[in-house]
Amino acid sequence: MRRTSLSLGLAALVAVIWTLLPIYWILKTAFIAPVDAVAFPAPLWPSNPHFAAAHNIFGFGYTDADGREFLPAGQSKQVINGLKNSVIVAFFVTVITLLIIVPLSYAFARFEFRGKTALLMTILFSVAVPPVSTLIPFFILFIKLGLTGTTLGLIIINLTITVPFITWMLIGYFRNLPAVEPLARVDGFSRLSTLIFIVIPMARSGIAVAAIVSFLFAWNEFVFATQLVNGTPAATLPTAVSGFLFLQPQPGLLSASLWISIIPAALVAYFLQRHIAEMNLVEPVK
Amino acid sequence: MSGIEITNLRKSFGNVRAIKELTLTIPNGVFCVFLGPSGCGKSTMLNCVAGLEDVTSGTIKIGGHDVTNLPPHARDIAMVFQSSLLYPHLTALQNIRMSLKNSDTDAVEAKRRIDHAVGILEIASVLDKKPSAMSGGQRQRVAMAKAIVRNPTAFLMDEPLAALDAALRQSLRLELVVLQRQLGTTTIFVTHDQVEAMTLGDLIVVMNDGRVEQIGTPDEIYNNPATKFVAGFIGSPPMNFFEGQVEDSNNGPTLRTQYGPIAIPRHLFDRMGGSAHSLGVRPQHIDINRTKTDGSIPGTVFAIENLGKDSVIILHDTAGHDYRVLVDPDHGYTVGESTYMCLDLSQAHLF
Repeated sequence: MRRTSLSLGLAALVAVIWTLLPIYWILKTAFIAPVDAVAFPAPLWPSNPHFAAAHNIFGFGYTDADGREFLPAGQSKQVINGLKNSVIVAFFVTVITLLIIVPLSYAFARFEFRGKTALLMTILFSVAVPPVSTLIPFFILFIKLGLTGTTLGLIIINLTITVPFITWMLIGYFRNLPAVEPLARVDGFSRLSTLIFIVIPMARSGIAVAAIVSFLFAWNEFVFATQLVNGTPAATLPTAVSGFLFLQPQPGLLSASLWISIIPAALVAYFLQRHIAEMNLVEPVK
Repeated sequence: MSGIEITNLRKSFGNVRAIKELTLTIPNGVFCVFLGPSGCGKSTMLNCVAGLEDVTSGTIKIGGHDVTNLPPHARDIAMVFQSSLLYPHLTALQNIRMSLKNSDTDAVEAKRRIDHAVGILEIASVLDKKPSAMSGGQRQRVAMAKAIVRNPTAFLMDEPLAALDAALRQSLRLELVVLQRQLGTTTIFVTHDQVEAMTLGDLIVVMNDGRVEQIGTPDEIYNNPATKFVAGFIGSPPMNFFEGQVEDSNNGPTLRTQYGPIAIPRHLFDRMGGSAHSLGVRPQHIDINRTKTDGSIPGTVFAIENLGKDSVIILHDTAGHDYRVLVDPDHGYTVGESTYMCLDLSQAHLF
């Protein structure tokens, strides 16, 4: 027993280091003075915290203790604009996804209707198609519709991925919920009010997880954004941040912009994480 | 005034006729149990009465009102579902309140009814708990409270005790009977458990294959089973059947079996006539002996079940049919022994 937990602990430690070390390495760079960042060997942690990058990335100048002056980053406008666009896209993708998938997956889980299997297979198929393969058709379509370079276009294309994927995910969840529908009918609820007043509150964990998944997907989406909105006023944060890669080496600014893209996602995941656990542990009352 | 009147009820699902034709009147205040094997239509029947299923034809009256086409909540019923189903995300109190949410009961009256139900069922301590934090017995009581606050004309219960362990089931069974007597509300209780049916019901409706086999008190059902199905379904260990042909000869009526003729009492024969082909004898009405006597039937001891107070000896005849005999535990028989069964025909049934 002790041996198992020891080896389990070791394995977990290796996995954690493997995953988190590179992220830590780049994130710490935001708080290291540019001179130290390029020093060899590089410092393991910001023993002498330096906040120039954190100011510059938001367009503020900074003067450190030694009197050195750091000018606002040239990309600060892009980063702030990207942040704004990312929030808009992620918010609307999440809300619209939930509005579509909750009734959709509930209907699939609870009702029998003609063509149900065919529709389920269609959804599965759209999950299975690699998103990149739809990129060029969408690009042509969006050019004709004038949707390139717009947040609306990006929201639409994000929905084509989140809706089928999360519908598929939630169907199984709804199926495992206890069948309280007859109970609700005896209590005088209509089908619609059962969904709104009984099923949605009962399924809040599953719906929260669906919200996390769609938010994070839209927040992190890079491939479509690069093609459709990069270099336009509708550019999202991941595309704005990627711009740093090809500029003069400013690891501090790159790191600071990564912080901006990670923090909201981490917050969303943190506050909704108990639902992830609950969704897996949900034990219908037998 | 009648509690529930069901007239010529039929229910089909596509081509499957779940309920073939059913007419039944349950007097006011009676505890009526629908009993039958799974798939016999008893739950479908209950769902039709509750309004959860539309009927194919026929009428249902509850408390004198025709409710055939009314939705469930307009039928003046309360239902307790399988395993005492509750809303898992709500506390006991919220669950109980849901019963009144869509009714026009005012807040004062609602509170009075909830307090009353909570008092009767002694569930004050669990009101803030969610179902997952309650024991099976507490859930059952909350589900009952949820039903009681509606102040219905009829309670409908769909195997509420099914998922509980044996000891708890026994004590809740008693609670349920006492509560129903106290409230005097007409109740339909669906179960496949004959012990539950015998102990709970004022009236038992035995169903099989979408049909009513017999309606009667527990006594009538046990002592005068109307059909072979009822005879075999009620009673544990189950009734033994001896197959053969009934004939009326000079020596009186007999059943001609493969072991020779068995003389049948005249009153049994007169009731059934010559159409019968099966003689039913309960396990406690058979004696076994090591020596052959007149009219006895041979059998080999196949297995012995010790029940503590009694033992059940399971005999095989040459054709491999099972016969169960109830004996004292100090019977002294061993597996493989050849014995002879003597039937007490004064307590037998012909089918």
